[in-house]
Amino acid sequence: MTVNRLRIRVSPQIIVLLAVIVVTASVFALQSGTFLSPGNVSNILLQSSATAIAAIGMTYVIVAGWIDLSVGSLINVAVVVALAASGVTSAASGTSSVWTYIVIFAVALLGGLVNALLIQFLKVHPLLVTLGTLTLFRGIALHITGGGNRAADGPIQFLGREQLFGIALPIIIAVVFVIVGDFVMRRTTFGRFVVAIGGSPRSAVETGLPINRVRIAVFAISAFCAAVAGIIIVGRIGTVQTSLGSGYEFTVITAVIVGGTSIFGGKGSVVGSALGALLLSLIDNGLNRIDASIYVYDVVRGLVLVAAVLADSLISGRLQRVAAQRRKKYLASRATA
Amino acid sequence: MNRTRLSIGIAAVAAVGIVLSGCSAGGGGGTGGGDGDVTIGISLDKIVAFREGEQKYLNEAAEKLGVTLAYQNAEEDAQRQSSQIETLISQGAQGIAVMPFDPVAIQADIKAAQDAGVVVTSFDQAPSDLSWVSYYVGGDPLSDGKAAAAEFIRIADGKPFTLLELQGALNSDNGIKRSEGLHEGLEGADNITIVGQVPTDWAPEPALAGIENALQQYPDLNGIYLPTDGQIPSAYSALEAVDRKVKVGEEGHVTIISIDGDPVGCQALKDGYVDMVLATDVPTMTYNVLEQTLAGIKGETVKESELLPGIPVTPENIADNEANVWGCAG
Repeated sequence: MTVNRLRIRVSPQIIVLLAVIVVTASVFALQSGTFLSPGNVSNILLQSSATAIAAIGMTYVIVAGWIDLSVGSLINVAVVVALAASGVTSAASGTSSVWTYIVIFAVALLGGLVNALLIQFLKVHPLLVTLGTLTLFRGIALHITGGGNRAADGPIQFLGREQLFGIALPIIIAVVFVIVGDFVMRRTTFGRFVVAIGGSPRSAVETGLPINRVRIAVFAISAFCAAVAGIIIVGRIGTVQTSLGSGYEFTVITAVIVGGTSIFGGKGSVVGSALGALLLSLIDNGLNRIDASIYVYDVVRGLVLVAAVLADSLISGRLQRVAAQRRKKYLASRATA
Repeated sequence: MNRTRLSIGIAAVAAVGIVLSGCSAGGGGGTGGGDGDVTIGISLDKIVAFREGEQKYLNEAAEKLGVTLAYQNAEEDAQRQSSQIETLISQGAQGIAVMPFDPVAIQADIKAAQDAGVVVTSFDQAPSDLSWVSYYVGGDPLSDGKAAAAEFIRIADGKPFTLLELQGALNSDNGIKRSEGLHEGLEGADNITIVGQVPTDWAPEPALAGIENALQQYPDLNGIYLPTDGQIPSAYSALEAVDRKVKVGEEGHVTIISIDGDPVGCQALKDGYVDMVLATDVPTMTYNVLEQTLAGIKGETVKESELLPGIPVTPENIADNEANVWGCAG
């Protein structure tokens, strides 16, 4: 697709997703007059920011042909360990410090490294490894807390609650992550390695790509993004419960897949994943706004997500057929020339 | 590193972990009181802060009654709970006090235990049919919802009142009945309008989003009904963001009524931001379930199932009622 003379390339998946977002928002706006008010739009962006950040990390993993089911548990254990190290022992006592941030990132990156190394040395599929670490990390956190809640007061609330130039900090952080994540994926050698490994693991081996180093980097990116997302979530809520991150990996993966990343690897979009996260929050926000029956939430979520994936599949399929026909014509014309 | 050696190393670590977990003291693995001749299995649906409190009082009750407890945590998995109940039976538990994750699916497990001669009781989360178990004791979620409604009506005092309802979980008897109770209690109170119902699955994140959205749509929101004290921090966060986290009795205060009576609820009452907490009588509930399970094991008469209404505690009477709020016990 070319726009004017600038040759702006926008993938069909992004266009389809944007269309789904616009249609969904329009439906909600028709039923709730203030759905598109600046305040509510800001709410939607704020509520989607943590998932968008985690989804950016997951995009790298899935584009590379792998998967990370441990992100939710990683958030939980990283935050729990960090708060414990800061002296927080209950829901009503103790406070975080700047060191809490450092410990969260350290534990998260360690978890990412564990995932990568287990996959590398055991030569087991990432699905199985991260399924195991999902349980392991959550178990460690549960052992530390004994099932109790933990207060998340003090500096840990900063990223989740502060504003910059009147814009909630989580939104700004998410935008920065999208810009940087997209640039690295599309414009750097590392990003091309990620796509190549996911596109054809065999070719990647044969061409001598540094698969092990890329794997470590990718799982570290996923862990880092999960840590930032976790800090935002915990900072916004102000407490840590045992349910923190429970099932979150599926929300994140859903955002990534809806965003157009292929579950089989080799193709994906950081921007698409962020838009996928936006769509998920938009649906929940809209259902809240129109006071939908609590029994239809999952139905509506499912229908919109199926519609998004179906639309993408139909349009992508059509574009592929059109491209194939053009190639055929071109080859035919070359043959007769 | 050689893959085989690494695999053996990891397996060894896992084996050591299993051995050490069997040696660990407390922490829910099992507790003994008295001569330990009687073992009662405790099948929990999950581990959360409320269960942590229940566990503490179960241990105290076990000590007083002279029984040994064996805990299992189903981690919100009905299949796992079924397997764990089988394990408790094979371990020789004479009684099982179950908190079903799936109130319908648990019937098969209850029957299997009873067929094996094990007394089965239930607490906190009711099975679909109380006749399946010898005895059930728990909170009275319907009554709690109605009590909350009555308090909202009293506070509204006939004036227009916009109320946001957060719903616990759609697959939980407590969640469903706390909501039903609120709606039944508000019947006839035409001045009170429920402006939104938000399903939260007991989690604080959807609670935060729901309250944020409601405050954005209804800046003058008058009240929030929380199905669990665990969502009080979410309410605080959302209210703080719009400068509406105001104490009870002060201008601009948003009425908050919550259920549980856990440490967060206790502190919220002391701080004066929450209007009422309906504190579940955890000490009585846990003692009674063990007492009646033991009665069943000994062949004595078992009491009728009972529901314990939440104890209404407000900032005004918390000082006198602190002993009744289990979360204040520390």
